[in-house]
Order: sequence, then structure tokens, then C-alpha cells
Amino acid sequence: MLIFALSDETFVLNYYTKIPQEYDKTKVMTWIAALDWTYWVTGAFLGGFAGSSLNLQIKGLDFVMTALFIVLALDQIRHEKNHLSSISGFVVTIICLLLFGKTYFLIPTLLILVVEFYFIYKQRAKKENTK
Amino acid sequence: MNVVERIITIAIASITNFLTRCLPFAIFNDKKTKALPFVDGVGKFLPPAIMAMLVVYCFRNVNFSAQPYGLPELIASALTIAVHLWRKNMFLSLFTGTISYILLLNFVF
Repeated sequence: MLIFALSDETFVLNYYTKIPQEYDKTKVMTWIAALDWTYWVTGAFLGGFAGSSLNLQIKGLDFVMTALFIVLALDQIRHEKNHLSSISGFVVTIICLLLFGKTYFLIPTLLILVVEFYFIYKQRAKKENTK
Repeated sequence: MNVVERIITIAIASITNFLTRCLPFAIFNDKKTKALPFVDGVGKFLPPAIMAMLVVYCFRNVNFSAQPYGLPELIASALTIAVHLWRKNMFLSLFTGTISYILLLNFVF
């Protein structure tokens, strides 16, 4: 059930929420997803309706998304102990954007990040073997 | 596009969308993931990096080499960060950032 409901917002919420022990994890996540979808559908409907009847264009409103990701990344950075992942995400993406152009840079970015983690993982394994 | 072509397009989109969502769940469940420490590790390592990636992604259309050198975006982002660090209120940060960007774009630059 949850698989179909997976959307970006749901992922973010489920990833960040610490679900209290006394609740069933799957149940809470399903509810988040279900409510998310209701908001989404209602919001899109109302937006489309209002937008077509008002017919006004606000230049720059799309910055909401940028601001949202900035806030989320900032919260992530404030709460994590190790900044390696955030920093490499930032740096690798910029490099890939410059190298591959703005249409195709996301896939190389993800591949490079996985490869990077492969080396981190190897190093960790080595350290644990020498202990 | 006629009706048949539209149906085919929608069908292709649904199937690929469905597959990309289903496959990871079919291949990795909780038990298997625990048995594969590398996959488990990727699952823990990637999310913060992806957050940072999405921030950069939002800036992909900004041209820093020509007027106004991405200044409206940079100022609005700085404001968003400042307000968020100050009040730690997500909606306030989003509101301030977006409003300031709209104002900057329409009236200043």
C-alpha cells in the first residue's frame, strides 16, 4: 500500500519524524502518506481552480521550493553529527552541474555518491578488521 | 496525439513509474537489508547528500555570469537561512524567503 503513496513530501516526513515507541510504525507512516495525498489532491484542485479564475502570475513564487529544500537541508545539517554526506552532496552536485550541464547532472551525481560511499565503506571495514 | 497514442503514453508512464517504486521494495526488504550492510549503509549515507543535491538542483537555472549574477536568489536564500536559524520556524522561513524573492525579482532587479 505504502509503495504507491510514496511521494517526495512523504519521504521527507517519514525520514525526519521520530515515531514514539507506543505507536505502530507502519500505521503512522501510512497515515502520513494518506493525509499527504489528500492535501496534495485538494491543494492542486483548489490551486488550479483559483489560478484559472484569477489569472494572475506572480513572478518568483517558485522560490518556495528552493526555500523548502534550503530549510530541510539546514535542519539536517544542524542535527547530524557527521557532515560528510551533506558536504559531499553539495560539492559533487555542483561539480556535476558544471561538467554535465543542467539536464543530465542528477544521475552522475547519485552514481558518484554511491561510489564515494563504497570507498568509505571499504575503509570502515578495514578499520574494524585491524581492531 | 490521438486518443490511442495518449492511452499508450499514459500506460508507459504508469508502468515505469510503478516499476521504479516497486522494484526497490521487491529486492530489498528490512531483513535482507540488514543482511547487506553495504545497502543499509547507502540508505543511511545518501539522504543528507540528496537534500544538499536538491538545493543545488533548484539553482540550476540561475545564471551567475550575467546580470544580476544570481543576486536575488542568493539574497533570498541568505534571508531564509538567517530567519530559520533565528526563529527555527519552518513556515516563517519559507514565507520570508519567498516573499523577499518575489519582491527582489519584481521591484529591485
